[in-house]
Formats: sequence, structure tokens, C-alpha cells
Amino acid sequence: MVVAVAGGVRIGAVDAAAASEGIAPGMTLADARALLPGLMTIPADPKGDARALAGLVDWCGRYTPYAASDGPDGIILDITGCAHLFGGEARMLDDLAWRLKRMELAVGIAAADTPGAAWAWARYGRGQAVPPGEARDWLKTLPVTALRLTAETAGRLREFGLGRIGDLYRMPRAPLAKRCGLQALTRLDQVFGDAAEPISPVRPAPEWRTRIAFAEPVGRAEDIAEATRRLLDQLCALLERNGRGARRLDLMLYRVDGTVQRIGIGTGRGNRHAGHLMKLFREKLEQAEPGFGIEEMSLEATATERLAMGQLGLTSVEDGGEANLDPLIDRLRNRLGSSGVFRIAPVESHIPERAVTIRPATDALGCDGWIADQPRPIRLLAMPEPIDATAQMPDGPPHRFVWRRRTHRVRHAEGPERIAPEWWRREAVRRFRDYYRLEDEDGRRFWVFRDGMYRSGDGPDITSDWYMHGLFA
Amino acid sequence: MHETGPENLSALRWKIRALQTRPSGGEVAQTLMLGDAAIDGALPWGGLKRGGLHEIGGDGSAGCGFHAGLLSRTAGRDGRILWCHPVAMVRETGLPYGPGLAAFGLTAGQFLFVRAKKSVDVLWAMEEGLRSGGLAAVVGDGIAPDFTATRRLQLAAEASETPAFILLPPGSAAKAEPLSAALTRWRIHARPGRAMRWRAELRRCRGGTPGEWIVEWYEQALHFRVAEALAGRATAG
Repeated sequence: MVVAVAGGVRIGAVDAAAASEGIAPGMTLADARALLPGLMTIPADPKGDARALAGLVDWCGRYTPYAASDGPDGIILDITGCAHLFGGEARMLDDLAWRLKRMELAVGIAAADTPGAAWAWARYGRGQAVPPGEARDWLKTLPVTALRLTAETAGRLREFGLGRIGDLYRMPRAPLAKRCGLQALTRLDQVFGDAAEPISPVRPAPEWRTRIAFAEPVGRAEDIAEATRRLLDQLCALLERNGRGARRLDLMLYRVDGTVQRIGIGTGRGNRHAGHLMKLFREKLEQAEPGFGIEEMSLEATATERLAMGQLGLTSVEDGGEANLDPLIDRLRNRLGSSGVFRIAPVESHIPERAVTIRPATDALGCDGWIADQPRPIRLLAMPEPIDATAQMPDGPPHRFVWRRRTHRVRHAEGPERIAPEWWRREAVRRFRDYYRLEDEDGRRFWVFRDGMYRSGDGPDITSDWYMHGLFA
Repeated sequence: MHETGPENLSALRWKIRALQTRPSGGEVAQTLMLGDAAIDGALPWGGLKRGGLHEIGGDGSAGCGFHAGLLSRTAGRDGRILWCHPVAMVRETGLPYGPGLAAFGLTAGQFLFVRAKKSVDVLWAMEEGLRSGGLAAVVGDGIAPDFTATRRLQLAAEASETPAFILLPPGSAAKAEPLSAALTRWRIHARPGRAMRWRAELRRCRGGTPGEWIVEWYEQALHFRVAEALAGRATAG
């Protein structure tokens, strides 16, 4: 693999075959070609690499929720408390190695007490689990570069004849820090767990999680649905025991090819009713793309809230009333988005378009309504639409108007009803509106208004604009 | 006192209504009565069948007014109404306007709106609503579903005994009618001279005969009443 850097094209990475011929990263392409005329090169694709690495991090979520990328070419997993699910650390590593090999990836893998020790052993060791407490012994023969040092620090250590990690064990700390910088010490402490080094996972770790692994990869929709149902049963039991209800659930499908698909649902209120949640998933499972097969699935509750015992009657029909609609609202929202489901509520305002406000569907609203002392249209247009109106009297109602390219002759007009601007609101409606109820020759009834007062005489305000605002029943 | 006046009035109207339409024997009425014997008697169910799909078309918003009356008759002021519409419909005719619904005794809290880009999603939402069983009515506003879709809605409405309404988009009255599995198909025409009064044309009625009436919404007691029977076309009540 080659990269273009300042000073020419250089070798970025090599495979095992090229390495055995003496090609090393950092050589110029010309030098490499001189050594090995038949060298095959491909341009580096750092963005593509980063994408692939991110995908692989997701895939590693099958082993642990705490997975993070580590540098441009590494992944670090916190398997604390997870290894037993795979039959111990050694078997977990075997499984990981086997699957990655199947993806035709050349990797180094190691497990150890600390991220630093695992990092070192994966890259410089022989790829296995370093037994607990034995990292000091195992790592002592590795070169100091295994400590994740900058080239400068590593170079300085070598100048002092400290080429192996074990060489550092006997060194007094203070002079070492003085001569070679603090980095060597910090790294050393991290490797042996004397300094903390947190792993920041790519996604927030779920509070609750269940998983299922398949002996044979599955791909049929029924199998995926059945697995989802089982995961839900388990998860809901878990939530029940802990008095929680799920607000967000993520179903992760780990495919054979190392990619992951995430399918998420949300609920309006905390819920742990497996039947209801399954209904929500059923809609979304159509999106599942098993590819060559799914080998593992996990279900994670990424957001939960307290839900007391016995608060589960949400879906029972005899419950009646408000709570009854929650399952329906959840289903609608999961397919149409939360803005696709809403309620309306009255607002005390004289401005017609302000008398109604849109509220989230889960808001409980009482039976309060509007009090209309004047007739109001059954439909209000989303925006007042300008109409072309002619009036016989300059300050009277129109006798004819054109709306949406259709001419209407007014047979009957009632009004005006003057609606004043709400002066206490800024940048609101600034002018008076004179509303008229008009009836055309077919009996259709419209609600139109003149924006601003008609002023006879002079000035630029002489024009008044007419708008269509609503339709009467 | 001054502020609670109109609310008391509304409550009083509902009380009157309750007295008028108390179902005999206390069972849940299977029939949605419009409130005038002349029209209810002409329908095979003694009104509209509650578990069924009813289609309403007409000029302008006349259909919407007639429909609001039907909603009031079936849902009262507590029953939940699922109102589903395509996004494009909002630009065309706007949402039903709260203060305008007040004349039909309907309140803000009883409406749940669903807005979807595609009409398949509108139909899906309606079906979900019908199947949920917790609603007093389900409305599809501004859609003209094909026969298969109306058949599905009709079956869902029948199974859950929840009334479903289709409000055809404006202008569809003039167009050729597609096949529909709706139990009744209404065309509501504006009537010059008076608000809340329409010429209601029952074009098709399963198991019944078409008819035509001049009906108006009687706001004080929240029911329909026939203003004049149109001789010749109306079936005798």
C-alpha cells in the first residue's frame, strides 16, 4: 500500500510476503521497486479504512457493548464480565480470531489485564490471553515501542540502552522521567494497571441487554422475528425485576460478513410489555437485511425509566380512557416519526391561526374546547392565501374574488369582524384584519379578511390586501 | 361567571342530547343516529351502521361540515377520534379548525392527528386505529382509496365496531367515482342561504336505497334535522 507524502510516494503498509522481501513501511516507492521490481502497489484509502474500522467496531459489539476504535488500525474491547458468555477468555479470542480470519483480515489479538498490556501483546506478542497478574513477566522481553511511545521517546530510551520493556522495571523512576520524558512512565503504569485508562465506547453502553447466538446463521424473516420475541421476553423479564420500563430499544443484527444492522424503536412512555414492544418491532423488522446470514442478535434498552410493578395494564382494552391509546401512538410514531402524530390544544388568542397549537401525541389533554362567540370556519388554511378581490364600496366586502384561479361571485356577505393585532406580542400580526364571511352563488362559504384598514385618500397605504383564510361548513 | 357561561351552555347541550338519544336497554348502540327520523328511518340500520366505512365527498368544505356532525353524533365529546391525512392535504385545505369544531360540540382533547407523506401510510394508520379498538371514530381526510383499500377498512371497521370515514379530496365530486366497499357514499353540496345546511345526497347505500335530503346541523341540541325532504328522490321515512 502506498501513500503520497511530502517528498514523494512512500510505502504505507506491507503484507507478509512483501515484508519477507525486505520491504518496510516508510521506504520510498523507488527504493522498494529497486528491491523488488514485481512489487504490486495499491493507493492508500484512509477514509475507506476508517469506515471499515468503524463497521468492525460495531460488529465487535457482539462480544461486548464497550467497543471502541483505537488509533487508525486498532480496536479495543472491554470484555470484563463478558468472557464467560463465550466460555472464557481463551475461547473468546479463538472465536474472534476465527471469525476475523473468515473475513480475510490479518489481525493480531490479545487479551490482558489492561488496555496497554493487550495493545502490546496483540502487536508484539503471540496473540493469546495474558493470564491475570502475569503481564509483567510476559511483556518484559517486548521492545519498548510496545508501550505506545512516540518515536522520540522510544529513540531516547534506546540511547540509554533500554530496548526492552523489562529493562525499565529496575530503573529509578525520577531520573528516568527526567531523561526520557514522563510518557514512558505513564505508559508503563497504564500497562500494569497502576494508572487508570478508560475505554470510551462508540455508543453509550446500554443499561440492559440480552443476546442470542445462533448455531447456524439465520436469514428467514420468521427466524429473526422469533429471535426478537425471545430477546424481548428476556429483556422484559429483566426490566420487570428491576422495576424499569424501556423508552428506547435497539436490536442489533450481527451478520456473518462482519457488518451490523441496528433497528431501533421508541415508546412514548416506559414499557416492558413484550407483546406491545414486539408489535413495534414487527413493523421495523421488514427493514432487516440478513445478507449472508445473521449469526447473533442482541437487544439493548438504551433508555429506560422507572416503572412500578403492576403498571402493565397499558394494553388491556377494559382499561378505557387515555392510557388505552399509548400502544397505538407508539406504533404510529415508530412508523411515521414523532412529528407525524400529534394533538391540538386551544390557546387563548384572538388571532385565528394562533388559537390552535400542536402538542405531542402523548400529552394528556382535557376536554376543554374553544369558545366561539362568532362563527368560525371548519377548516383553516395552513397560511392565509392572497386573493384577487374587487369591492363595490371601497371599505366594504368584496363582491367578487378569484381564489386558486377560480372566480367566485359573492351573493351574501357578513362582517366585518375586526380582529386587532396583539400589540403585546412582537413581530406578530401588525395590522388590523377585517374578516368577512362570504357566500358565493353555489352556497360555498368562505372566511376572508382585508389586511390593514382601508384608507381613503392619500398615502402609500391606500391599497388593501385580501386574503382567504378559511372555509365554512 | 361570565367566563364559564359558554361552557355551561355546551354541557347543557350534551345533556339534552343524552336525554334524546339514550339507548334503550342500556346496550352500546350499534347504530349512529343522525337524529332525525326522516333520515335515520330511510337507512337500513335505522341510522348509519357503526361498524362500517362511510364515504363523504362534496364541494368545498360542505362534506367536512356534514362529517363533523357525524363525528359529534358518534364520538360525543369524550370519544377519541383518529384523524389521518396526507401532508399534501394540509396545504390544500388545512387542518380541521378547532374553534369551528366547537359548533359541533367537539373538543380539542379528543382528536389525535396523524400526518403521513404517502397515502399508503394514511391507510395503514387508519387500519391500525380501527384495530386498536379504543377509538370512537377513525377518519381518512383527503384520500381516495381504491377498492381493495376500502374493503380492508370496511372489514377492520366491522370487526372492531368502530366507524371509519373517508373524506374525499375536494373536487372529487365532479370526477368519476371509483369502486368502493363503503357501506354508504355521501355527496354533500353547499346550500345557498344558510350556514350549516346542506343538500345531502346518499348515492349508494348497501342494503338500502339512495336518497336525498336537505339537512342542517342543529347546533343547540347537537343533531341533524331534515329541513326539507326532496320529493321524488327521497325514500319515504
